[in-house]
Formats: sequence, C-alpha cells, structure tokens
Amino acid sequence: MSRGPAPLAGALLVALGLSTPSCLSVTWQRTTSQHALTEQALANLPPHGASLAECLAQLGAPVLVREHRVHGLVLVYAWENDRSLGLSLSVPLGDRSASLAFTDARLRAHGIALWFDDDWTLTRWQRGRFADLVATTNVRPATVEEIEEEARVNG
Amino acid sequence: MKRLLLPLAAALSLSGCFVQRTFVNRPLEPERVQSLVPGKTTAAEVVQLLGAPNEVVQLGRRSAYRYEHDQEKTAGLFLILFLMNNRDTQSDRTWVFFDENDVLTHVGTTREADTAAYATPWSSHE
Repeated sequence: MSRGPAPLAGALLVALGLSTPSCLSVTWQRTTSQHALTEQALANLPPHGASLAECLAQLGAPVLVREHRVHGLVLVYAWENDRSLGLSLSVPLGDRSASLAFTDARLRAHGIALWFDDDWTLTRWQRGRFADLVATTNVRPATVEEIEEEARVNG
Repeated sequence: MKRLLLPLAAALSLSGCFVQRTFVNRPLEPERVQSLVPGKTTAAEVVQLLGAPNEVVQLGRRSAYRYEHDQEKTAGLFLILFLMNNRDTQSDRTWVFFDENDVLTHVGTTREADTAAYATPWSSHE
C-alpha cells in the first residue's frame, strides 16, 4: 500500500506550483537609504542662533524643503537602515492581472525636521519617524492673498 | 529518498542570486554647482546650467529648487517563493534657494551617490 509523498516533498511541490506563475512571493529585505545625521552634527546648530547657510554647510542638502507659515521654511533630513518583511501576490486575469503587496519599510524611516523663521534662522528641530515629520510639514503653500496679507500685517 | 530528488532538484534549479544597480537622473557635475554664486546667480542661469529641477518649492515670495541623482545597489538571493535582498540607496542632492527677485541666496549640497554599496542580505552597511 502506498503511503503517498513525504511531507517535505509535498511542501516543495506545492511551493514549486505556486512559484511557477510567480503569483506569491515573500521578501525579506534590508534597506539602507542616505546617511543618518549624528547628534554631533546638530550640536553646533543652536536654535535661535544658527542660520540657514550654517545648517546647509553642516548638514548638507535635505531630503525635503517645505514652506512654513508663509515666509519661514522647514528642512527635513531622512535616512533608513532597517529590515522588513514583505508579501506580494498577483493573480493573472486573462489579459490583465491583479496584485497586492505589503511592506512596512517606509513607515520606519527616521528623520530630523528643522524649522526656520521668516529670516531663515533656525528656531527648533525635532527627531521622529519620517512619515510623521512629513505629515507635520506637508501643508498647502500660501496663496497670493495670504502672502500679501502677511506682508501687510508685518509692514 | 528518490521521492525527494525531483522536488529538491527543482528547488535548487529555481534558486539563484543577483546584483542590480539603478540610477535615477544623471549625475550632478560638481564644477557646475560650485560655479553658483549666492547674491549674483539668477534662477534662469541656474536652470541654464543645471537643467530642469526635480522639484520647485514655493517659500512665500521666495523659492527653492531641488536637483537629485540617486544610485541604488541591490544584492540578493531567492529560493522559489522566498527572496532576500539588501538594498542601499545614496544620493547626490543640491538645493538652491532664491529670494523674491529670483536671485540665488543659498546652496546646500550632498554628494553621496558614489558611496552606495553591495552587501549580502544578512550584513549591515554600517
């Protein structure tokens, strides 16, 4: 009486069957992006003292620059050194295909945001997750009317 | 034992390793960036020198342009359904800031695209 294929052979055959149309894959990925800013780099940049020129010279070019309260600005530096597990699934549907992918890598990037006032002098900085910093700094640019109103109020 | 040979041979034949290098945009020429003079160079001259920026940001009446070149190096291995890889992305990036008259005021530059490196999935770049 046949006992059928061994469990390991069965598992390999199932895996082989699934992989043939490339419909399912599991990805383990180590991701490095940009270089982290050190505490030492920020130590020489005191809030209410450092200028934009000094910050750029010390820290280099940021990943993002955003407007802050019409005439101010925010610089965001970001980096990533992380491991993530991802899963992707695609299903061929005739001449089209549907796919689904998941990974949490983007959420774990870190960064520092630096806020500058109207004179582009550093006022404060904050460390955090890149996604949170972007959510904080991504605001609609001022309209022409808002810029003129700001200029009128400030003389 | 014979039952294992076919699946094992299939699994081994479907495994492998790879390296991949990806560039985004052309490299920024350092001489061109160094020729920018705050207080003198205009936005029009910057565009003439460096080309169209990747991003233009409004800063009230002032503005900033971003120029970027990325290099990504990936090394990995796969075994049927399972893929392991190590991806390193580094950038050359320049931000130029202009006043309300479109005259250059500040330049910030990072040159790290050449530091992107290949590594095995289980090793760190640090």
